[in-house]
Parts: sequence; structure tokens; C-alpha cells
Amino acid sequence: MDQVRVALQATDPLSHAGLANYLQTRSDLMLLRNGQRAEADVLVVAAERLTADIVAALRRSATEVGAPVVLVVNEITEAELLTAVECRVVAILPRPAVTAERLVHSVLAAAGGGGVMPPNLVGELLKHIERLQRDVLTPYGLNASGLTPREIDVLRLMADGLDTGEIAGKLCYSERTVKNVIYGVTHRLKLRNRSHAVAYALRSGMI
Amino acid sequence: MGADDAPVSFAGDLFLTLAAAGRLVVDPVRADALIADLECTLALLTTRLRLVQIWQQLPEPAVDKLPAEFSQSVVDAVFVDQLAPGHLERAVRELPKYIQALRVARESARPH
Repeated sequence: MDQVRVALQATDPLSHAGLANYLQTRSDLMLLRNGQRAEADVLVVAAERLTADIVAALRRSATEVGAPVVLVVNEITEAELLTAVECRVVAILPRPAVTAERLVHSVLAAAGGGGVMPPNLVGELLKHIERLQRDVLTPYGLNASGLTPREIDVLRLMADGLDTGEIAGKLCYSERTVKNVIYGVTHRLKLRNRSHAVAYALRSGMI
Repeated sequence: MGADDAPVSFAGDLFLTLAAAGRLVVDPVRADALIADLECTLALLTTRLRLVQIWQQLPEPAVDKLPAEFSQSVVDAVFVDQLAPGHLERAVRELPKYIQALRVARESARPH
């Protein structure tokens, strides 16, 4: 079997040395020197996060080399995942959990897969579709649940036109507590202001 | 993945590209279920969008003038549009791309 030619790029020398050590232990892998990147079958990129610089480098690599990428990264958000996939990333390994075995397995799978994404990465992408649907149907997760009885009491009195002091008097709370309740509900549900909070509660049939 | 509370961004073109390149391969059973869900969501959003458009064109919009069977749907649609302006139109444009991408990705999973 032909050796898989691997180019390695890491943002810090220690990671580079550690990952290189993992890759060099295998006879079926050939770690390329700097400058041989264009010959790579697989590119391994290690970084703390998917910064703009890393994304730019991945985009260049996708255009110039076109090899599948194994990304070793501390954490990645959904938006970053989409960007990574666009840049031919076919495997994402959490940095703290990287072992020689996992890295080699991902590299060989990337080399043999012809750019096809493995099931776990496809699974992450499909989660994006599920989240997208929830998001377009109920922006910010707004629905007819999720308010506490205290929040409902405060919103009901707000809808009756009472100000903070009057609400505090009615409910035997301090004004500070009432303000905190209002702030909490508007912040949590990403409502714009008190009127919006009342409109939301009315619309949801909660008050 | 890390915490990601930001509103989800649309990536219909990316899914189409991945599917067309054969990089996105989805088991037909999973793909069919997702396509069915997306089609339901798209139908609902299309109806909501139409309601919002009709509401915006009314000379004097007023919920209490609407037939009772429509009023809640109109309030829901308009409320969602107020929370995320433009999101509805974008979703109606983007969801068909996901559906198409999944159709292609499903075919890639079938033995040739």
C-alpha cells in the first residue's frame, strides 16, 4: 500500500512536535517537510480556535492543494463548523482528546474517503438543519412556556398599566426585585423592552 | 462543539455544494425524514409569510377585524416576523436548497 503523504500545520511549536511524533510512528504515513505541502494527500491543521487567519489558510489550501483536512482544535461553534467543512475539513478532533491512534485513524480515513465526510461530521451538519428549523419556527426559542409564576404576576400587572413601584406594592416585593424580574424575562427571551414583554405574554396567552 | 447561542445562519448553498461534490452522503432513511420535516417547515413558513404580506398590505390592520379562525395565525406570523425581521423570507428561500441537497446526498448513499 502507498504511503499517505501528510502535511502538518500547527499554530504552536509544541503541538507541531507532538502531532509530528504521532504521525512519524506509522510506516504507512509520510510526514512531509515544509514546502512539500502541495504534494499532501491529507493536511493536518492544529489550532486553539478557528481564527480568521486559520480560516484564510484553510481556504488557500482548499484552492491550491485540495487535500482533505483533519482539524485539531480546542472547540468549535456551529458557525465555525460550517466554515471548516467549506474548507474541505473532513474530521475534527478535540485537541485535549487527541491520541496517536485517533489522529492516525482520522488521517487514513481522510485519505481513503476521497473527501467524503465521515458519519459523525455529517451528523453535526444534520444537527444544524434541525436547529435551523427550530430557529425559523420559533426565533429565540419564544413559545408559550418558560415564564415563572413570579414573572407572570409582574407581567400581568405591567399589562394593567402599573409602574414598578405599584407592582412592588401589590406583590409585596422590593422595587429592585421587580426590576430584576423584568430584566430577567426581557433578557432571557431577548425581548426589546417592557412593552414587548407584555405583548409576548399576551400573545402567548399567559396573562 | 462549543456553546453557540447565536441565531443559526443559513448555509443552503454550502449544503448544495457539498452534496453536488459527493462529500455529503446521507443515509436515505435519515435523509427522507429530514426532507419531510423540512417540507413541513417550508409549507408553514410560506403560509406565515403570505399572512404577513397580506397583513402589511391592509389599509388599517386590526386583529379584531379578522375572522376568529385566522386571527391567532396572523398574530403568530406577525409576531415572529417582528422578532426576526427578514428571517422568514430568507428561510423560504434557503430551505428548498437544503431539501435539494439532501435529495442529492441521499442518492449518493445508494449503491451504484
